[in-house]
Amino acid sequence: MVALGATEILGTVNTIINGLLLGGLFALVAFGLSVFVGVMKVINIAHGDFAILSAYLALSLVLFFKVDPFISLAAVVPVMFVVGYSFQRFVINRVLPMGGNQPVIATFALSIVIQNLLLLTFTADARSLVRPYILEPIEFFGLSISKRYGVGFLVSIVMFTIIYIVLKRTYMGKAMRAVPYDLEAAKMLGIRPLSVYNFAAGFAMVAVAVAGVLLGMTFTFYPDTGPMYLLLSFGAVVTGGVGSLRGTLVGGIIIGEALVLGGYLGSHFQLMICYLVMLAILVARPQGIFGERL
Amino acid sequence: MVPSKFMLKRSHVYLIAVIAILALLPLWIGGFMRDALILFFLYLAAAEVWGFMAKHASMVSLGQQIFIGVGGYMTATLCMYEGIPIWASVIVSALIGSGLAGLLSFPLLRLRGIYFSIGSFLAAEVIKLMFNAWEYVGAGKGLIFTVAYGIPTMVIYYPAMVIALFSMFAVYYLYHTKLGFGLRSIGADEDAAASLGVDTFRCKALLFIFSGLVTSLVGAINAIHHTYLHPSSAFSIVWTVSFLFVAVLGGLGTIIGPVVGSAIFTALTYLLSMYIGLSLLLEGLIVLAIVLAVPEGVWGTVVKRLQLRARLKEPL
Amino acid sequence: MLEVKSVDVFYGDLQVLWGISLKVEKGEIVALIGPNGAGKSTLCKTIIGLLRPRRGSISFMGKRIDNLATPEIVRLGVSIVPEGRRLFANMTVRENLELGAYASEARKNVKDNLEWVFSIFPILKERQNQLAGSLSGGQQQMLAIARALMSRPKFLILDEPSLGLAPKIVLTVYDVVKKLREEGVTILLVEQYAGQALRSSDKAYILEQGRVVGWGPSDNLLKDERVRKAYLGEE
Repeated sequence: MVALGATEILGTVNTIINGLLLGGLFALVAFGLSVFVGVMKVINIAHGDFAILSAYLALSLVLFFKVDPFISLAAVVPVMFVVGYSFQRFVINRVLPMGGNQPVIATFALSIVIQNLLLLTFTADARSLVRPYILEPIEFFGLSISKRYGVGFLVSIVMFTIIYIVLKRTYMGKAMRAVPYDLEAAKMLGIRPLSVYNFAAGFAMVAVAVAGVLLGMTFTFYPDTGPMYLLLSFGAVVTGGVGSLRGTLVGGIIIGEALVLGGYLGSHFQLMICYLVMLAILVARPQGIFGERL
Repeated sequence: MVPSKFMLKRSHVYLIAVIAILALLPLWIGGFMRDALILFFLYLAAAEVWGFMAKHASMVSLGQQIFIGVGGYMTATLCMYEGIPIWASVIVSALIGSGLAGLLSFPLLRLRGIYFSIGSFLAAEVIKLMFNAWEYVGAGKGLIFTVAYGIPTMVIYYPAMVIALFSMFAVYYLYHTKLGFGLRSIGADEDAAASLGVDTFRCKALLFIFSGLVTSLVGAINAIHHTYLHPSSAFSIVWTVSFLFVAVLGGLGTIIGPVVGSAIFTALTYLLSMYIGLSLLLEGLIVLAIVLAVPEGVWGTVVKRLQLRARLKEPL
Repeated sequence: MLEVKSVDVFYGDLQVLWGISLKVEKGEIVALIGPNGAGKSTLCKTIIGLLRPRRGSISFMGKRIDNLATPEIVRLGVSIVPEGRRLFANMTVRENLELGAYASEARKNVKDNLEWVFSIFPILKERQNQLAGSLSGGQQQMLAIARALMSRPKFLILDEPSLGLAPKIVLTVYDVVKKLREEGVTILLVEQYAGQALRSSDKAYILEQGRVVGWGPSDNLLKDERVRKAYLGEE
C-alpha cells in the first residue's frame, strides 16, 4: 500500500495534469481522423502515417533551411492539404462506391507505402523535431509540468476552435455536417458530395499535419511510428463518439490519462494497459460518450 | 470395386498428379529452391484462409500475426523447455493458437467491418507487448530455437506443403458446406443472415478459429525454418501485409488466386531480399493499383474473362 | 418548363412506373394526385435525379435532365420539398435555411432571402436558433418549404406537403402555394389529399399503380363523377 503523504498526492496530481496535457496532444492527432470519419464515414488506416509523414516533411525543411519547426508549418500545412485533397479525390472517392473491404484494404496498402517510402528516404534512424526551448519542464508549487505536452495541449485547443468555427460558420463546414447526416437531402439542396469530401479530406489533413509536427516535437519518431498513432487516434474518436468533435477532445484526454496512469503498473505495461482500455471501450461501448447508437 | 458415389473424374487425376509432383520435387531441386517453396507454401496457406475471411465473410483481419507469433513461440518453448518432441509441439501450438482464437472471438467478433479490423490489430499489438515483457519466452532479447538447427529443409518442406494443401482443400470444402454458406450470407448482409436464423457468432468464431489453426501452423513451421524468434518480427504487421498482398493480388476470395499471388510474392521477396523497404513498398503500390484498377486480382481476372465460374460451377 | 416523356422506372428488376408523360408549363401549378403507393414520390425522385428512368426522357427548360446527377439538376433551378421533409435535425433552423441557398446565386443574397422566408413563415424567425429536430410537425414542414425557397427556384416540387399536418396548418401551407404563384414560381404539387390539391392547381394528373390514368384542368376533374367518388370521398 503506497503511503498517502503529501508527496504522493502531489505526484499523482502531477501525473494527472501531465496526462491531461498529453491527452490534449492525442486529441490533436485524432481531430483529423475525427473529421475524416465524421464526414466520409471511412476510417483512414494511413492516418497515423500521414501525421508522421508531416513530421518528416517538417524535418526536411528544418534540416535544409535551418528553420524552427513551427515556421515549417507554413509549408507543411498547404502541402498536406493538397495531399489530403488528392488522396480523397483519386483514391477514396474511387474506392467508396465499391463498398465492403476495399476502403480498408486501400488505406492499409497506402499505410504500408508511406511507411516504406519514409524508410527508404530517411532510413530507420530515430528522428526528432525537439527544440531546446521546449525541453525543460515548467516547475511550480512542487509540480513538474511537461512543456512539450503543454504546448501540444495549447495547439490542440486552438485547432479545436478552428475546426469548430469552420464547421459552424462556413458554408463548406455546414455542408460537411449535412452530407453525412442525410446524403440525399444534401444532394437535393444542390450540394455536390464529392466536392465536400475532397475539401473535408484536405481540411482533415491540415489538422493531421499540425499534429504530426507537434508529435515530432514531443517524441522521437521512426518511419513505422504511424500505426501507433492510428490506434491512439482511433481510440480517442471511438471513446468520445464518432462524429462528435468535442467527443474526440474528451476521448483524447481519457486516452492520455489511461497512458500515464498505466505507468504506475510499470513502464513496460503503459502502452499495453492503454491499448487494453481502448479495446474494452471498443467492445463494451462502441458508440462512445457523445456518439449515436451504432 | 469402386463405390458408386465416388467417380474418378479427370479433375481428380490432375490433382493427384500435381500433388505427386510437388511431393517428389525436393528430390530434384537445390536447397535454395526448397527454401523458396517453403516460403511459397506457408504464405499460400495463410493467405488462402485470410482471403476467404476477408472476401466471403467480410472479416478483414489485421491481426493474423498473433497466430504466427504464438504458433512459433509455443512450438519453440514446448520443444525446448517442456521436452515435447518437435513435431508434436507443432500440433500442440496449433491447438493453443486455435484456443486463443476462440478466446479472442468473444471480444473481437462483436465488432464489425473496420472496427473488427482495427480491433484485431489492437489485440495483436497488446499480445506483442505482452511477449516483449514475458521472461519465459525471452522477452525483448528474443529466443533461439536451437533444437530446430538440425532439421534440414528437405524435412521442413513436407509439412509446409501439407499445410498449404490442407488450407486450400479446407477452404474449398468450406465453401460448399452449410457453415460456408452461412458465412457467405453473413458477409453479404450480417443482419439479414441473423434474422434468417444463422448463428452469426458461431459461424464467425469457427472461421476465426480455423484461421488461427492454419496461421499457427504456418508460424510454427516458420519458427523451425528460421530458428530465431523476436516479438517485433514474430508479431509484426508485415505478416498480415504479406497475406493481404498474396490474397488480393491473386484474387480475393478465390481458391487458386493465392497460388498465383504467393508465387509472385515469393519471386518478389527473393529478388528484392536485399532491400526490405523496397519489396514492401512495391507490395503496397501493387495492392493499391489492384484495388483501384483490377479489383479481381490476377487469377480473378482470368476467371472473369474465361467465365470459369459459370463454366465449371466451382468457386475457384 | 418541365416535360416528362414516356418514362419507365424500375427498382432493380421491378417496374414501378409505366410510360409516364406529363408537362408543366411556366407559371402553372400542376397537381399530381393518386392513392398511396401509386408511384407519385417515385416520380418526384426520378425528376430530381435520385432515380434514373430506364426508358423515356425528362427535360427542364428544354435541357435533358434525366442523365444528370441530383446536385446538377437542382443547380439548374429545380427545388424539391421531399416527402418526409428530410431536414437536418442536427442543425439549427437558420443553418438549414442557409444550406438551402448553398448552391445558388442566392448565396450572395442570403440575408435578403432569409428575410423573405421569415416574412412568409414568421414562426421560423422566432425559432431560428433552435435545433430543427425540436420543432413540431407543422413547423418542420414550413421549414422544409422555406429551405427549398432559399435558392429562389424557378421550379418547385412539393411532395406530400400536407402529410401529417393539422388542417389549420395545411391551410397555411396552401396560402404559401398561392403566394408563390404570385411570385412566378412554377409548381408541381404531389398530394394524397386530392381536394385541396385540385382547388389550388390549374391542371392535374391522376396516377394509379404506376400509370397516368387521367389528366385535365383541375376544375373539370373536381366536377368529374369518377374523381369525386374515388378521391374526394376520402376528404
